[in-house]
Amino acid sequence: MVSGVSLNLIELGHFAAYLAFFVAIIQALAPLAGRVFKTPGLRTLSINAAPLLFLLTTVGALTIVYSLLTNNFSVLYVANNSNTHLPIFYKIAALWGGHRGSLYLWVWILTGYTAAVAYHGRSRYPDRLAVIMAVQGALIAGFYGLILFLSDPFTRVFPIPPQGQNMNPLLQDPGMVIHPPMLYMGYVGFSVPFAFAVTALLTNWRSELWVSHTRRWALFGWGFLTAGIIFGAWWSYYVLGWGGYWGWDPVENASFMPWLMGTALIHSISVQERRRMLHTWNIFLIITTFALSLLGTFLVRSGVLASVHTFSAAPGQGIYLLTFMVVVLTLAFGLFLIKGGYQQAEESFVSPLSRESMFIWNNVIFTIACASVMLGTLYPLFLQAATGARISVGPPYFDLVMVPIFLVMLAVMAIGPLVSWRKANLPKLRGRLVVPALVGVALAVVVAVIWAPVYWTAPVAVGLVGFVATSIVSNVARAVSQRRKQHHEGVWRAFIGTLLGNRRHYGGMIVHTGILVIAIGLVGSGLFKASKLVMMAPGDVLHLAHERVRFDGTRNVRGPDYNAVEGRLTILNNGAKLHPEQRVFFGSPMKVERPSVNSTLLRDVYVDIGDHQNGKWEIHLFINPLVNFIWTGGGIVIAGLAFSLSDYARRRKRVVVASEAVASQS
Amino acid sequence: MRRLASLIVLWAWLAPCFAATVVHESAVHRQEIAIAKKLRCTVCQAESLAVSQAGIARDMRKLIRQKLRAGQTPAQIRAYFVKRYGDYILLKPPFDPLGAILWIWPFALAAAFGGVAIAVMRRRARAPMPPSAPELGPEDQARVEALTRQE
Repeated sequence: MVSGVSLNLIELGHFAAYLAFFVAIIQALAPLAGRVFKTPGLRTLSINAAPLLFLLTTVGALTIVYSLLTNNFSVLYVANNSNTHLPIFYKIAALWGGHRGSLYLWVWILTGYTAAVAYHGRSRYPDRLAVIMAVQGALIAGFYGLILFLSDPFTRVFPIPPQGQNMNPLLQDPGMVIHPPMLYMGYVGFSVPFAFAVTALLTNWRSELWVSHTRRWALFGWGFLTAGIIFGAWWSYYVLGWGGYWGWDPVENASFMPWLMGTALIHSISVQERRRMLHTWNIFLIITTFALSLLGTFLVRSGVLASVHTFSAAPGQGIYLLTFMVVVLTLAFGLFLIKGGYQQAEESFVSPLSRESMFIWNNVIFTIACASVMLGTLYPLFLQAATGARISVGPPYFDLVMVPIFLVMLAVMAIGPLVSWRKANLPKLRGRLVVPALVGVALAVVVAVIWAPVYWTAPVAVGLVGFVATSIVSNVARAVSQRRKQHHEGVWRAFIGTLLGNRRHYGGMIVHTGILVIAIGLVGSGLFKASKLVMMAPGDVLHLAHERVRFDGTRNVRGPDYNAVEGRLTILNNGAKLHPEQRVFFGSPMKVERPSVNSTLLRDVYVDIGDHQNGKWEIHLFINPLVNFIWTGGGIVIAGLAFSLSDYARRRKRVVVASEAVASQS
Repeated sequence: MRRLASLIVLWAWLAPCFAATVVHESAVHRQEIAIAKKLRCTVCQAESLAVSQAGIARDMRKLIRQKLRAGQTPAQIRAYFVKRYGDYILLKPPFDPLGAILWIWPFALAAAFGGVAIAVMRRRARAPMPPSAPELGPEDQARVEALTRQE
């Protein structure tokens, strides 16, 4: 039995959280108070509040984790989401395994970002830091209000239940441990550009002075959001047992919308850095991206959506979140309308065919994609609220609408990086396009002929992927050969030198390559998958897409907190064993199918086991080609992003060295 | 000798196929999945009947199977479910007054945004921009002074 002190340690966290709520309010109001009372010194309060808030929130989080680890069921959240059978790994992850805890994680990450910005900004933008902190403080206070008054993870329960309920069985997976923090790092990461933009609007801060800082924060958030989405797909694939990884589930869409606008944003910001234009549009994009992050949180956390992700939530929370979102966005967009005019572009288009116009097309397409996903996700809700009619918008709709949009994105991605800034040199552009276009057409024809009859998107997508890949390769090759001429270097040296010399550009190209690899995986697994649902007796063999799978029978197994029937199957082609399970968790009536996957570079053999009848078992076998490309592509995207951001660390070092040199001279 | 060895390997490789009964997916199962993919599981959340592990989804799949065995066409079966549950059960919304906007929207957006983008770029490309940077505000001026004083 736990002692009194450790039983009640949670109250320390509760106190810390309340304290944090008030500190956040002070942080939000300090610069305003400084202005009203003409004591500018008050501004430092909101800067110093940032590390304190992070500390207090961390104390709260640690006491929850401690309560989870010590099975302190006097805490309602622990009793609802954890029990003594749960492995330690999942006990820690239970911090974000339930509704209340995941909101707490949201605000914890928000305070983390705020503290990081406070640290980052103290030498770079000290004059505006207090206002940035105040904006963040307002967001933190808003979320703390929700947490403390409507969904308090520190709530106690008496009498103390002897045992807790189980964590949602579907969430007991390593993928689940990583997915929510990643996603939240992404969502919340966009709050930093948002705070910058609002500060800029409030204080007439010219965007030249802050936009490159914002770009890095946006890239950082974008990277986490990308990783979070891919981990989510991975989890869905390996855990949910339906043979797929993306179901256009409303909550998946809720994370996909900020990703789409965030992608538009990180492209559009670089136009501003390079060509000093699109200032107003970028501020609009920043606000919209964060708006979609808030919308995503609202959709998931309010319970308005029907989805595998939504947990039970009190009705008041939905109203609170909606009100909070409406207030924040009305203020932000209102401010934008009133003061956005100050942020004027300094230059403009020279020609409608230029790199910057290609970026505009990128923005147009990503915005259309985002708006289409949004309508498909929200329209059924509106319709039901307005007329009571219930309709469903599911994967067949989204596949039909989104795939052509993705193909156009690929086409812009193929041409965009080849067009030069300001004004394209047409003969030169034509020269650069010929080879990639020919490669693309050739690949498309090959696919269309070999796999005929195939749905039209397959050859088009493969052709475009070939097009982009060739143009990236030829782009790099041109730069390398130029460098070799200038520096008389070997091929490899010149290659490395070229990449390291312009990390931002080539980091971006690596990200594009990753997207291509993902696209190949999507085409392969989307259009060339096969599946069979059969009843099998032990010893039976099933043929599917050149794979032969034998069912060897079943046995009962016992996990730490579940009993399971384990199917035993052998892939006769390579001798690999598959062990899909049907699990029954303690304290839950639900049967959960846990698939088993044999994965090679080119195909996954994926199998589920279902119920049995007359000595035969229901076996659902999927052959999913090229799924590994999706995970690999995700890794490449993140690696490319890290490479691109490493430029920043290097440059800073150089600046420091240079300023030291100046200092020593003088 | 080598030929014998390769024969043995081939035999060992193929033997399980000959020894075991090879099961085939029945046409009914295949059609059942195809229909179930486009219908929504009514109790669970945003999942199709083909994907869902809920009890009612299993029952509804069984119903589809029975109707297929009874000789009904997929269209008849879909019509049956729509009659009972309304359009809600269709994962792909039909092109009717309520659903039309979903299908028109992406095209309308493409036309609107594309048109605006082209118009803006054309106009801006023609309009001459002020050649010099805008005047420095008092605050920028102060910063410039501060910097020059430092040096």
